[in-house]
Amino acid sequence: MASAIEERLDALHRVALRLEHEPAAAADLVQEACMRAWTHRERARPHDLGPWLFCILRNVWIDRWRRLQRAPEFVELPPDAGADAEPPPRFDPQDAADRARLEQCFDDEVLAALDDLPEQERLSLLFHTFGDLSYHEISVALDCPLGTVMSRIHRARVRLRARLEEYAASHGIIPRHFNSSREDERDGHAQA
Amino acid sequence: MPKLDCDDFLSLLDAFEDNELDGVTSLSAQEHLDACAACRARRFWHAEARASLRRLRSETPGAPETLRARAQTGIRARRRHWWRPLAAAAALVVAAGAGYLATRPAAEVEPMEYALNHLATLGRTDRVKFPTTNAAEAEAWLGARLGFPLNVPRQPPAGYRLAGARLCSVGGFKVAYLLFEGDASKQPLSLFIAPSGACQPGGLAPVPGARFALRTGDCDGTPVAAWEGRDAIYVLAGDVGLPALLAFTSQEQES
Repeated sequence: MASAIEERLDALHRVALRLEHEPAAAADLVQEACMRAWTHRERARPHDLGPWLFCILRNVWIDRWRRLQRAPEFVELPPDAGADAEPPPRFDPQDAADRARLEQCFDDEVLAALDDLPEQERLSLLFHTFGDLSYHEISVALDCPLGTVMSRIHRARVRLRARLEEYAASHGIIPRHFNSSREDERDGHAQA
Repeated sequence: MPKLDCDDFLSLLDAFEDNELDGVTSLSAQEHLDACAACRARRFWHAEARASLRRLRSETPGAPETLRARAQTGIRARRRHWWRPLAAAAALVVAAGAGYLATRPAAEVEPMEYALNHLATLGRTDRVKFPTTNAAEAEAWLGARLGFPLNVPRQPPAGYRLAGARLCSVGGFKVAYLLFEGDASKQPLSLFIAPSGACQPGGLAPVPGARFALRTGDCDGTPVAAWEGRDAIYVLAGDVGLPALLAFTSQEQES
């Protein structure tokens, strides 16, 4: 069991970083998950160790989140965003020099979009992309049918795509009136 | 070749990008793509989103060494200390009952007494009085101190080695104690050897098909197995698994 945890530590940490953002909080999350897995190791099924560890990571993350929700928190208010905001930079996607900056902006946008995904879609996509779990393993970890995992990941990617399109339109990379996102709108309404 | 509309195409987009569509469906998807500007745009942004996820994945670091060390330390600590509360309680029980039991030798004892003795030993720093990995040496050391003949099994249970011996008291009798240790993933085992007709652990269930009157039971999570030797009773406390237990019990009789 100890070696099984050790083997999956990198993948667990990558997912934890995307859930917690702060390296210290991610490390705490992974360590707590590892300790919980070790304590309850008799419940592990040898052929489902990976999904089981990610299931524990998810449960620990939810528990920590609930604890934080109960604790009072002082929030520093951000400065008025509109007062001194600079106009958004404009990119030419055909310009090679702009491409790297554009990718960085896309990555920032996708990271933010990941945080905004509905919880189950977010976990499914994170487990797949950052945790290297197959669809089947995710269905075990999240205790849901395989088809549900597939549709969650598809919906999550559609939302990310919509976010990028919106970003591109707002920065003049594509015309504002262009709309390829009828499916995105439908999904968004369904979610709401 | 079936014609796809935009909804059909979008539902296949992930598989299309991953080259997971069969030939005919892939051609249908390509035909739709060639004819539909909106889906070409969707595909472009879909690919951008996937590329962005791939970049983020490659930029997200794995576990740092500090976390690896913390996790390993935590596991080692739990591996080492999980029995401490039990051992402390066991030590109290053994200490409290020692005076009474010493004056009352019993033909039959609760198997829990062996289990508690086992747990109390794990909580001690000096687990054995005579450290040795040699069964013959342990047998000679014990034989010189006990008034009954005994055979120390020459082959330890699979995955374990003899760590040493000492004397202990069970049911008012002085009995032999042998400690077997395995690698870090295994909890130590305690083997007690008591004279025939004394401190027989009661209430254990016979193992069907096993020779030498092998009986097993569980004492609050500590497995206990007992079997009859030629001149002694053997009691093993700790989890060794049935196949290894059967192999271990048979050698004393065959020696």
